[in-house]
Amino acid sequence: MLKKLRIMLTFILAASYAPMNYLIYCNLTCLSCPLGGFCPYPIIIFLVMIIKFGRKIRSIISKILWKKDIFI
Amino acid sequence: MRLINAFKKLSINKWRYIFWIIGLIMFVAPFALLTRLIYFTIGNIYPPDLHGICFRMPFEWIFSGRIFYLFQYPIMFGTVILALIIAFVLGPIFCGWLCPVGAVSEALSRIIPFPYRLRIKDTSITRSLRYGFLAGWIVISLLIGLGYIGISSICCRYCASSVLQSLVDAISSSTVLYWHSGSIIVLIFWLIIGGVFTVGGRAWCIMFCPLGAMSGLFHSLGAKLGFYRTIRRNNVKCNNCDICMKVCPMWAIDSNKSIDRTLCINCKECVKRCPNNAFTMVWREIN
Ligand code: SF4
Repeated sequence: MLKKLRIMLTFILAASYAPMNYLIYCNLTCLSCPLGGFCPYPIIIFLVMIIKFGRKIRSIISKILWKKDIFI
Repeated sequence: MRLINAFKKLSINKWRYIFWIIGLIMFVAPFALLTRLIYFTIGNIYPPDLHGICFRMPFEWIFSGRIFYLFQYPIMFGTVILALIIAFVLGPIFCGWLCPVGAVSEALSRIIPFPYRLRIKDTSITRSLRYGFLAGWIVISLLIGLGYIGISSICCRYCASSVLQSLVDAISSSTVLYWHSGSIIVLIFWLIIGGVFTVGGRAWCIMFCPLGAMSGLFHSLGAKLGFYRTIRRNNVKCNNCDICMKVCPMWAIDSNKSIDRTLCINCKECVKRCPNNAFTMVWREIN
């Protein structure tokens, strides 16, 4: 049940990406950006990625910091 | 030593990597030999590049009801139809063996050691990401067709092909890149997060490519009808070493070692890299 819910949620999230992409896209080049290139769009995507892969990213950083044997 | 090892690993599935290079030469300018040949034959004067044959626009034209474009650009339409027919019979080998966009990101992903790379282990989640995006994409195409949200294309707003072509142009002819929010997001997701930092480097192909998603559907439809070339796993030979899961660029093998047909691109990485030869490529028998 929980798994089905997760699958459905993922489906809905993924389905909302194309409309979001279409609506947020500003039609400007970065050189003519009124925000001086501080584009919120990639930042949103970065945040989503960090939320999704936060644990993995943390473990990667800890591996780098503690120099564990990274090659398998 | 690591270089020699890397080279040895490459030689295992060498024909696939040779086809990657052929794909780059066929589709990407300054070569774009296939597009050049087609343009020459039909007398088209535009400079040939990766945009010459767009693998996604024909789907948008179909779903938005702008069928007349298909007749205006029959070569694009023909290429996509051919890729789908091949996917139906042989699996999506265009994606795995020829597509330059997937080839570049997969090649780059090999730079980073395995534990530093991300992957979604549950194939049902990966599948719902892929087909969820496709569903939203089809809805937007329909709305564009009905004239509710403007007429510009959804494909061009997140085009990995144009970013790849711009990068190659920048290297080969010092052309300044044309950046916009869409290309930044593509660069981040196709090449960096979804490329270099994912297992297999094909997160872009898995989630955002309509041709890839459609080919996956045609592949599994072919599977249902029972005549296609596919990967089979031998349970007896398998010792659960999980190497197949680490080498599969499409995250198509789950922890039970079952292969998701809608994701698999028949790249044969699992066949070539399995130490116990548990995977084989076979013609599926008709049930
Ligand atoms: S299951 Fe095997 S053939 Fe299919 S995409 Fe994965 S590695 Fe390639």
